[in-house]
Amino acid sequence: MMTIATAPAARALSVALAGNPNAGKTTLFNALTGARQHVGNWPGKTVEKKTGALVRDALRLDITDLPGAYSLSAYSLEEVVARDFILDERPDVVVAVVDAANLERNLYLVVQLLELETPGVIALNMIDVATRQGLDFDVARLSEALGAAVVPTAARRGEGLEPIVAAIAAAAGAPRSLFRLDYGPVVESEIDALLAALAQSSLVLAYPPRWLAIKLLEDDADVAAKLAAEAGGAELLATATAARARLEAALGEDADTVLADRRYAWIHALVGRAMRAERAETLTLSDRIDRFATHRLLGIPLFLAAMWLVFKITTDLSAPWVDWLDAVLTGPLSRWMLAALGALGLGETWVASLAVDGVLAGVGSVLAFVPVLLALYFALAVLEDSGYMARGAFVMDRLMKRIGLQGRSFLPLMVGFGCSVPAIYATRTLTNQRDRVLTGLLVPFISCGARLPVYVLFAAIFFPARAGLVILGLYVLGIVVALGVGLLLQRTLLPATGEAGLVMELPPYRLPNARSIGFHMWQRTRAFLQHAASLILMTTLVIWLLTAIPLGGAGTFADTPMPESAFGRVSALAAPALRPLGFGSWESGGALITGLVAKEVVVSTLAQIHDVASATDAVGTTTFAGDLVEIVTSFGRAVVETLRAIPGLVGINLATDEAGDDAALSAALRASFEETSGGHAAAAGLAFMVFVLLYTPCMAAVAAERHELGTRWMWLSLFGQLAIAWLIALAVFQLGRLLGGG
Amino acid sequence: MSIPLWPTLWLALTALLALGLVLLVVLLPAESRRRLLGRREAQPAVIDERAQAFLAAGLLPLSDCPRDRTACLRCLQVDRCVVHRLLELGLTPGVELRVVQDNGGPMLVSVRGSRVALGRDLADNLWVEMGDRANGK
Repeated sequence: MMTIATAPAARALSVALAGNPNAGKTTLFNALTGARQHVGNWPGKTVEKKTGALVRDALRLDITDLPGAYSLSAYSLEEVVARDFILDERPDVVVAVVDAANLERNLYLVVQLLELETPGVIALNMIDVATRQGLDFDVARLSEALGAAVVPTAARRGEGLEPIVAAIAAAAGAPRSLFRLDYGPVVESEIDALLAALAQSSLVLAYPPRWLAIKLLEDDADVAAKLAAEAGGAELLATATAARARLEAALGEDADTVLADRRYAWIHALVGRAMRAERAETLTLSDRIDRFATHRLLGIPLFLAAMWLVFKITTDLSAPWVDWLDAVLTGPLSRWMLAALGALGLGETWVASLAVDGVLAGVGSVLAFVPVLLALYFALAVLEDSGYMARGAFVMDRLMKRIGLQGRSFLPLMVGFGCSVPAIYATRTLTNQRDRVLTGLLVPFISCGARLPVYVLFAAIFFPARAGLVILGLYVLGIVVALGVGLLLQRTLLPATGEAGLVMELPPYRLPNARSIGFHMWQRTRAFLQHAASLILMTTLVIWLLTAIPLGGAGTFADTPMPESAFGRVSALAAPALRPLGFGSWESGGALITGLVAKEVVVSTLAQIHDVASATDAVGTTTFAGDLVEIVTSFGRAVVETLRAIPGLVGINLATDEAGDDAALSAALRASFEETSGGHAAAAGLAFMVFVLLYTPCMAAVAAERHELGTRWMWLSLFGQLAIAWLIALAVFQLGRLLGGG
Repeated sequence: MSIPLWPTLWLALTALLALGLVLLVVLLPAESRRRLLGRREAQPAVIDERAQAFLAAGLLPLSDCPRDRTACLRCLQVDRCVVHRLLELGLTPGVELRVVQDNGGPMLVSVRGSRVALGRDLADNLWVEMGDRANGK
């Protein structure tokens, strides 16, 4: 290990944080790096990579937060990522973060980290919790046995940070780790034999020889592949296979099992020496809560109640803020922008239209998601941090397995009723790629809140007597289609992965930590802004451009009637495809196209196209100061409304929704559908609602899919949904026509 | 514009079929669904013989293990990849474990101080020895 110490100020160390999931690794990372973080993905992987820096006097630590893992084998993506980072990037120090209250299981990863022979420091984290449970540690003895500094920390309270930094600095300069776990005579003799055989291989230059020998005994697929690529690798692999066979014959167990058993036996003995428990392990508080939370009968209702709360938080708490942002952007900001452009002499030109209808509208549709996402990530972080999320997965596992998903998939699907975008991001809590993709593809079929206004309008026009029933039916149809598509995908593109069954640790319940929740909310929302914003903005601009370009009409650029714009022409092109569905007019096509940007605008586009002026466009004369006051007071109103929404979360509704019915629009729509459907307007209206339910939710959802699932799945989802929406809308209209729905 | 009757009827029929399939999967218990759809062939007889041998030796599948009693894990009859996941969580042969919750779905066991959830079909293939039986009841 080299330490560059040319000038005192230039000492930079690369540090990796490793540990079990739930050991407090990320909390320690946040405590050490503060806001100086970068979040991305590991190259080519869907595993999150976090890096950050800490500067202390003459020392700079570049810290990488490795994914949480239980061991360092080649079986899961997280483990491979963590292992490859340590082996290939060779960080100066590896900090193993250990949950002190769960020392035995956590040390299993630690001994494997130490076998990689990288200088290590052990953070005995959550020491406060362990102490409260009556656990007492002999830190010196632990440190001696492990050959590495052991530092008690309580990252949530920010305790033990300075000693950890000091220990990292000391470890970086120290000689190589002397850690060696004794696997017993039979295994050790096989390790020695393999070490002798490995001596000629060039792999020992790149990797610790003893670690290679152990991995060969474990039949590690990754190491075997590395060896096979070497000259003489085949013979070495044969030697390893023979050694494994001898071992299994001598001990009567798989070599894998023997090695794990020896490690745990060694750890068990060490913990027996270095930790004293004041009282014997009994039913903990967590166990007692779990008696209820995972109860046969109570478990699912409790979980559903929790999900309902998440759903209400994402929709109700964010709604006032979405309205406030919208009001500020379309009100004062638009006016200021127009005023500024007017002052530059560009008042009534296309520049003003681009700025207000293009850019500002685009920014608005991006920002509208920010309160929603913040609210969702708040709810998710509380669930995850408290440990309840794992219980929900446990409780729902049996039901969700019937449709080929895991218990955790329920949450994104539930959030999907609020908004598809956070729902797709919520698939990240799933434990494997296949389930993430499958859930992410099903989410768009769950009817989101933004589609509701379309249903409300259309149901009121075409089914005034049974509007509620029709809307409920649409929600159910969405669920049924999601189930059907799920089944189809399982049989075709996404077969179940080996029926491995649920294996998951349930962490003890903890009080959520405000700081880590704040971090979580901020980082996730920022990731959305970085990844989705450009796509949404671009779509908005393209649509603006299309409406601005005159095609074959008398209009000029940015001042052309809707039917004669490129947008109207393109919509007219879509009309023939929609004719069998009963709404083949350019007006409907246009509304559906703008629906790609966001479902919220379908109704307003319909109003705009049918030339029904809405009252919001009235521009009064306002002053700059008046606008500022307006922004601030409406902000205050949003705060009040959020507070008023809180009792509503548990079912008490203080606020009543304003019903916006527009007689002129209704009449225009009715006439238009009557015409395009050949007298079966109700059937066509229903088909339109079904189409809105099933086709691409919005560009933000598409961007989320690209970000979370990859481009290939995004395209499949986009076109698959269009095809499904078209087919089912066709069936609905034709059936309705047949049954004489008029 | 007129659309022929047949495609429409056909579409309606497919939609009904799709709905039926969904109901079949959601409402029927797993075993009968498996039988109806023929998704998985019957378990090979060899496994049954082995299970008989374990039962004869006084072992129980973990899924039959009563709550709040200590048991000793003896044998993991699952494939290598899953064995590995279990080993790293501390479920090594010979370890003591205790069933904390059994609600008919997955099992929740306490092992080496942590709580691990195990799917039901997985628990069917983990063989344990009850504490009191080991001491000669």
